[in-house]
Amino acid sequence: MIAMKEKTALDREPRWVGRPVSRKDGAGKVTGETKFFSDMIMPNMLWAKAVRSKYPHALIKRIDTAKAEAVPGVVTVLTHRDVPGLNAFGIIVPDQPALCFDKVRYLGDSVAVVAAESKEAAEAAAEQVEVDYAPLPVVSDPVEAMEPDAPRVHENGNIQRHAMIRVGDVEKAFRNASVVVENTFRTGRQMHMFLEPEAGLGMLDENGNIVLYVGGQSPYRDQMQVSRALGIQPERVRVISTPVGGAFGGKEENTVQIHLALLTMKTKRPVKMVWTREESGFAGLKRHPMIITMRTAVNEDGELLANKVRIVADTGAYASLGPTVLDVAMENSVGPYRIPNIDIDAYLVYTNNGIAGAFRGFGAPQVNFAIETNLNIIAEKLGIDRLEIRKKNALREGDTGPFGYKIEGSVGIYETLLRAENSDIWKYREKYKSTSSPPWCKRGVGIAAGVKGFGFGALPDFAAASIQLTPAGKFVVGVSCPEIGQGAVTAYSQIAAEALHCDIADVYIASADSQLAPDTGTSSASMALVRGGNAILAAAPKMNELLLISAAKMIAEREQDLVLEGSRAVSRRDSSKFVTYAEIVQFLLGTGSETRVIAGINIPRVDKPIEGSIEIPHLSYMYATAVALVEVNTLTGATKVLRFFLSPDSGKIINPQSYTGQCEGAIVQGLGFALTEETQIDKGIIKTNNFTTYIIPTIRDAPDIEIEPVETYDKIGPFGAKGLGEIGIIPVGSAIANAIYDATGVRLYTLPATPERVYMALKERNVTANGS
Amino acid sequence: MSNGTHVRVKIFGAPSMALEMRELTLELSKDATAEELLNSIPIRDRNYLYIVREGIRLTRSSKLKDGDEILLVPPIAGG
Repeated sequence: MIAMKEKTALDREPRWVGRPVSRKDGAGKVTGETKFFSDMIMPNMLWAKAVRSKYPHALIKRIDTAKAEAVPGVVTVLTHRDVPGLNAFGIIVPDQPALCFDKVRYLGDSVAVVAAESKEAAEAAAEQVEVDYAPLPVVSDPVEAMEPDAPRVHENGNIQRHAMIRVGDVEKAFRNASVVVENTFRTGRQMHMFLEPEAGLGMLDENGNIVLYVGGQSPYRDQMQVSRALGIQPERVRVISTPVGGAFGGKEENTVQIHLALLTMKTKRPVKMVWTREESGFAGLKRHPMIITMRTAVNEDGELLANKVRIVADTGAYASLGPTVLDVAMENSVGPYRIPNIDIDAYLVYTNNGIAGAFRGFGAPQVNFAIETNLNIIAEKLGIDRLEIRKKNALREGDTGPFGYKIEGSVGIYETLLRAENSDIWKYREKYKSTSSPPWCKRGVGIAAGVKGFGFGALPDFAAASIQLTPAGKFVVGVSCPEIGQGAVTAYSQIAAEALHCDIADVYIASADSQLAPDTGTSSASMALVRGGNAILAAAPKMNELLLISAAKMIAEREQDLVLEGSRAVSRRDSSKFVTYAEIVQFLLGTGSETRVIAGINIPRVDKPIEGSIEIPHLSYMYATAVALVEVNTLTGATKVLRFFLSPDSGKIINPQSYTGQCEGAIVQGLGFALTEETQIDKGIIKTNNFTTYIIPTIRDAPDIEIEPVETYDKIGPFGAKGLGEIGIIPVGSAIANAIYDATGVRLYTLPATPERVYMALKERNVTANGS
Repeated sequence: MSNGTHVRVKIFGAPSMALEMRELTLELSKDATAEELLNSIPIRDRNYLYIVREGIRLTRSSKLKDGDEILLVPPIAGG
């Protein structure tokens, strides 16, 4: 391992880092050439289909597979009796059966899984599996679910986790405050709606070991969950997780992996499973809907004094990553601000409403809506400008964070606020608001700030990378974090080329394969760049050392008299004296020496979480300020976002193109969270399983976007970089809601601000085309 | 000092809570593997555990070195 400072400093002008290098995976994806796992066809391949529950909540009395097994083309039908290991999965709490045996808790629960010669035969057989159910009362309201006499989704009760954090004395602060506001906010169950639904293919290798091609976010953790369910050693499962047709957190948890592994082991044939879009809708993971009651206090100058928060998060039938989503929600409920007194009670509650898990932002967008709205209300009450009150309270470099830990990373929130202040939309907001539009349309400008830690906070985490010198004298860099669209592989290439002093074309990234790359951890928590980048920076000096030592022997020079340039080790004294990497690798092979190096790092973290939490605080955070210009149609309630400004602080920018792309994607995904994306559930039955009823933003909805980064230097990440993937989405809903208020005078406490919701709110306040 | 392999073990998450222990030092055999280390600690869910040395995952058959610091980490995650 090497010290952080060594890894992040460059004593020369970077050649690759910070440059707009074209995406390595770009051409294949935009031309349609890239083949995803749902496109894979193998000789002798079977098709798999899960048999889903018919009820959101029921006891299983009997499962009979005889009729299904008799369907022509069916090869096998598996039930819970066929799970040799632990019949349960779940990243944090293994509370979800791979195949249910005693009860079902949501419509996505599987009671059997079929493999057949054709997709049609698999589907027909799945229909023929007979299951006798005894329906149970459905628990669909998370607040009612918390009542002691509510029907129990799990034996131990419906409150999966109750977390409390106390800092200072909020009640005393409330007594001494000039303004106190309290509101209750609700946010929707957003679906990930990745282009490729949950899909994969399993097969056996020549040694009888399982190979899984599954678009996921962590091949090694998938390996662990699969091996646990099958009762075999992890090394007997190889997971390949790239390419991924979109993830956004929704492919962190097991979906098709265990079913594919079970069927592959049983049939000894390749097996493919692709969830339908509807299946993805009702069985896949979603963003946690939250009910947040927040009481916020300030003094007469608008300085925050206290924040009392109650969060109820609906995790649906199973926990998945809910326990840590709850942590991040608690952490972000105080925003990027100095608040001396905090009192948080947060509940993660089981219901029969589908299942919730990780989703870009990981609990932060929900609570951001609450703190940012309360802050706007306070600003209005005090007659302080919305941006000024944020500047007044923003965290600064060197601050101790709200939970009592010094923030080790860079703190650029104040600078992002300054950029927002100088943005065209904000500076000329009155002009844009009064710009001519139909009389029934009203324009407004909204602002919001956001924060989020990157990485797993106080949880232990590590990352390793390998570098192999090829016979051609090029480098294969092994990093297991999958490319999930964020540009990680390109960034890894840039970092590796920089650290190995070579051309980027000489670097190939072997990613997301548990056989080809060491465990670099997950592509999640806005951390893939930091994990993989730091691991590469740990491995590169070892490779450089290997090259120099070898070259020194080969051309009788001292190591310190050699320099690595391009694909050669050259004498500093005589540039005609050099040896190529291709020659070095031959030398190494000839002497029976290793041509591969591997290095790892333990990810820096705080020693232990604060009392009441699992993972918070984080050591470093991303920040952003967003400004939105919207137009609200008062006849229909429809909101159109015309322009959007985002100033993120994500540390050093590794690739400006990827950076902009990440931010734009996050903003458009945030538009859905803000305006349209709401899963409708009626007594555990999801009514919006497809794009016809679940409305996501399209390119026609994308506003004119301006990204203005604040480039701080962070000592945690490679070359000063931080994470980026999530911060762009966090303030989007809050800024849009604030803009709607600025346009119409109607304050929304529930997102998404659908046309129906906005229209009813306008009607209630008599704000129509002829109204105020 | 004996000829065994002395390792410092840091335990995290559920195993740490179950054992009511965050850290311990073990003396293992001369050619100890990660498997022997696991056999020395009564951890229930051994199939859902990362064994980590200097940021690199070990397999059960990986050889340990005298003076190693080993982390036992359940593969849970945050955000």
